[in-house]
Amino acid sequence: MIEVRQARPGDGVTLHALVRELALHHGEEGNFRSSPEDFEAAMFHPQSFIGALVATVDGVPAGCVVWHRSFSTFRGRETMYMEDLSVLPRFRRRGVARALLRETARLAMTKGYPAIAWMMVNWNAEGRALYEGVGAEIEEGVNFCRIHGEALERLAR
Amino acid sequence: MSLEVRAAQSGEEGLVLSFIRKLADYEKLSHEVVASEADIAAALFGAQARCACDLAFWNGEAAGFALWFYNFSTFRGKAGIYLEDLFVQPHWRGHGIGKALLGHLARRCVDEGLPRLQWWVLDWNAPSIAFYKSIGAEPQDEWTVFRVSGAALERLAQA
Repeated sequence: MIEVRQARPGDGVTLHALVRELALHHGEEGNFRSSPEDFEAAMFHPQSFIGALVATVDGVPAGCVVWHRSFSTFRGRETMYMEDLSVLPRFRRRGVARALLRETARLAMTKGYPAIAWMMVNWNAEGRALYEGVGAEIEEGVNFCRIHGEALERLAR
Repeated sequence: MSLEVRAAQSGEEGLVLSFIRKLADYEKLSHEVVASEADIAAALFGAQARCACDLAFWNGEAAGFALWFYNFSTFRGKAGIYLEDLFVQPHWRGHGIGKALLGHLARRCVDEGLPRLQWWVLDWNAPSIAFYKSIGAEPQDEWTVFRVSGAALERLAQA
């Protein structure tokens, strides 16, 4: 049986393991540097702007969503940004991701967020099919920019 | 000639909203702006404020803004800065104001130990993309952005 619940203190280890699986899936193991303590510290305090959902299959952690509060200046409202959606390989094709997306949507509605946005690497055809299947629309013509490392330090000077 | 960058203060939400509208106009998205001054005041200065805004002044005149908030990288285990809006008044472009606003945010990242500064840019916006490349950012087109809202969001919640 698939169940989805809100993450709670002590879930840092579970969330870390689930997101690590996502990093492996994307060949990004070398860029995965977080610790379970990072998740605990970021999520479970009153001022936190980050949340997570944990999906279990017969009580065993199978997947998660990590999200944060976002803001649309055009709407003038907070929205939801989904940072990660991860399902462990052995639990795929059972509807775990769909259950997580449904619960994320319910959470957004409960909190009064008018939209959920997220990014996905282009080659992820499975992800695209899943997301289009739940009614998500692709924002055309948007490029993602990031500055980090030495370039960030140069810009800071 | 003087350029000053400082945090927006309570009472400046009208100025911030006017910049948001000008940015939307530049992006040909004016029809999407429904935010009110009260919305912006709450987001920037309210008890549950989620956002912050830096204003740039050129010889004392408001010339541009950067509206941002913290995000979180699960891979790095650290917060970062997400830049929602960056805008410089057309008649003040070419004076390094955009770079000063981004530099201000980059300094905050370095000072606070935040590894990443991120934003999105429209792919037809060639001048901005060239500018971002010049400061060491790399616009990446290997990502697809999804959004679910409105009736689709309600359907998903009820599925």
